[in-house]
Amino acid sequence: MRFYRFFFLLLILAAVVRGQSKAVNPLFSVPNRVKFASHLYKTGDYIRAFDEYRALLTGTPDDTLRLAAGLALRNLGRFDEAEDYLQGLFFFSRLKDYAKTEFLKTEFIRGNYSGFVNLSGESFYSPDTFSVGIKRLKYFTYLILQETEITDSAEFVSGFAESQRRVISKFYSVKKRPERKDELLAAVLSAVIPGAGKIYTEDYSDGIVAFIFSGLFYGLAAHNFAVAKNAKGALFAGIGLFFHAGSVYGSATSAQIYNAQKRFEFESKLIEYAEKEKYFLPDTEKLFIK
Amino acid sequence: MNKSLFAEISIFVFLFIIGHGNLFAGQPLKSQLAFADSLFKSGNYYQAITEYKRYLFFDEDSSAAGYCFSQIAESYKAGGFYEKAENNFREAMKFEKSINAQKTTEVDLIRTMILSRKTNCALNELDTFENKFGDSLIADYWRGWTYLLNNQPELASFYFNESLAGKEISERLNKIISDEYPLFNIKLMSYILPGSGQIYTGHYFSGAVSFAWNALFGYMTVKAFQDRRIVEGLLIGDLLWLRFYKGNIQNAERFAKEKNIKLVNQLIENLQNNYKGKKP
Repeated sequence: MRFYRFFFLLLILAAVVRGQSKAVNPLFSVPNRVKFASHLYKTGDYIRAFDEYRALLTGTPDDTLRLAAGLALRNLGRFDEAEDYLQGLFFFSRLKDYAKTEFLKTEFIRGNYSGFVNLSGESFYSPDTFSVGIKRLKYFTYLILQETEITDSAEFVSGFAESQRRVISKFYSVKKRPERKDELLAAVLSAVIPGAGKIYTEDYSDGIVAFIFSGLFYGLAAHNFAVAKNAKGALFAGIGLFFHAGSVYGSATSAQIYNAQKRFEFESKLIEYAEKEKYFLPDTEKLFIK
Repeated sequence: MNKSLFAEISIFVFLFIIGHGNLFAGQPLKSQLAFADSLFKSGNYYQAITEYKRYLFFDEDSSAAGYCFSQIAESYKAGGFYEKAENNFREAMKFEKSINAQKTTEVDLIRTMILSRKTNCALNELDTFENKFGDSLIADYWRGWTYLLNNQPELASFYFNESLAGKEISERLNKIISDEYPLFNIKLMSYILPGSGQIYTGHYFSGAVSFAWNALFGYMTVKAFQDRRIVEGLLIGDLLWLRFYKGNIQNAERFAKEKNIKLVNQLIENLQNNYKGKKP
């Protein structure tokens, strides 16, 4: 009897050992893969983090993993796919508020500011839990949108946290009184004095060159006309006029470039600030990064 | 307690331990490394990086960290991600314990820099390498490659010649140097006779056009001064003649440089395909 019991145990042992040798590497167990994916995300390897989350989602449907996959895609700049993942959590998910908020944030990050403003106005996309943050980001977007007029500065600034108000009021002032050069004025100035428009748009070297060349050829033309060399005078006058016209057109363009550059600088500062403030929204990443 | 009962209890304990997977604790990591290596060997570098990273993440002792970082770096290098390759080689160096391993990794880092054309960084790193390991033969060999890929055949030849392994390349480079267009002479020719430098480098049409423009505007300038049309002379001379005269010299130099670079590139391509020694 004892012999059979012993033999039976040996059989079990053999089965267990064989089972172990064929078993999945524990490094690929679900908890370990989740930990590893989180590590990859944290170290900025979003593409591999996404691969891990996607692999995990095929066997383990999980809302947190889905959210993480969406955010990894967003960090990779794959916004459409990121939004697909987030939209999958809009209904019947415990993380639906997070998903909607992150969806809105994605719209902002991808530069679809008007889309963000429209969606954030809908109650479906603005869950009460995060309504304060969404409102702040919406107000902030008004600073970026060129066509938007902000009237009441006190109301605008008071929407933000105490610590943010000083910077926000600075941005507000720039939005209200942007540094820009009038294109028409630049052209008129150059029409009166060649190169003056360029000086006005702070393109000093071009302004001086335009003044010298136009002046030189006009001077030569005047001299030739004075000594009755009309053909030569006309030639030099034509060249002078050519430089003068170029200076008028160039001044208007220079003003445009100046305005576009200032606009770009302002927008870059705004986006940098939004990033620094985590888009005024709660940190969703803490849900899956431990 | 009789013997058979003792045996039964022992087997139960044994089963309990392996049932909880602690008995072969080192086994999963070992097989993980083998898995990553197999991916690397099959050229699946993207996946190999993931699996090496997984190994590193779970390997608490960092027992093979140097090796894994090196393999990750090699994978990135194979994919053309040189910046990431460099970072990982640097990480690998932190974990390498033996002098030989450190030396190999440092050379791998330098090779990546050479390949990504970071000439100054590679040269600085080579100085550090030479000071640290005192191996000037290896340092000079890779200095040769650095200069070769930076289109400086004279310096490349010098350093290849200094190293034992690079004698063959040095000889081939010397032949190229003798076949190269002499930049100084070509520029001098263009100073004396505009267009001649371009013609010498085989750009006949460009040379003829350059000569014609220089002749025309030169004549107009001189004529204007002869007729005491000083302002006109200055304008034509400065805005037209000097512009074309300067352009003729610049063009001749550019054509010669292009031809010389082509010669060196042909050698690099040839070495890439046929040279049996170590390459970046």
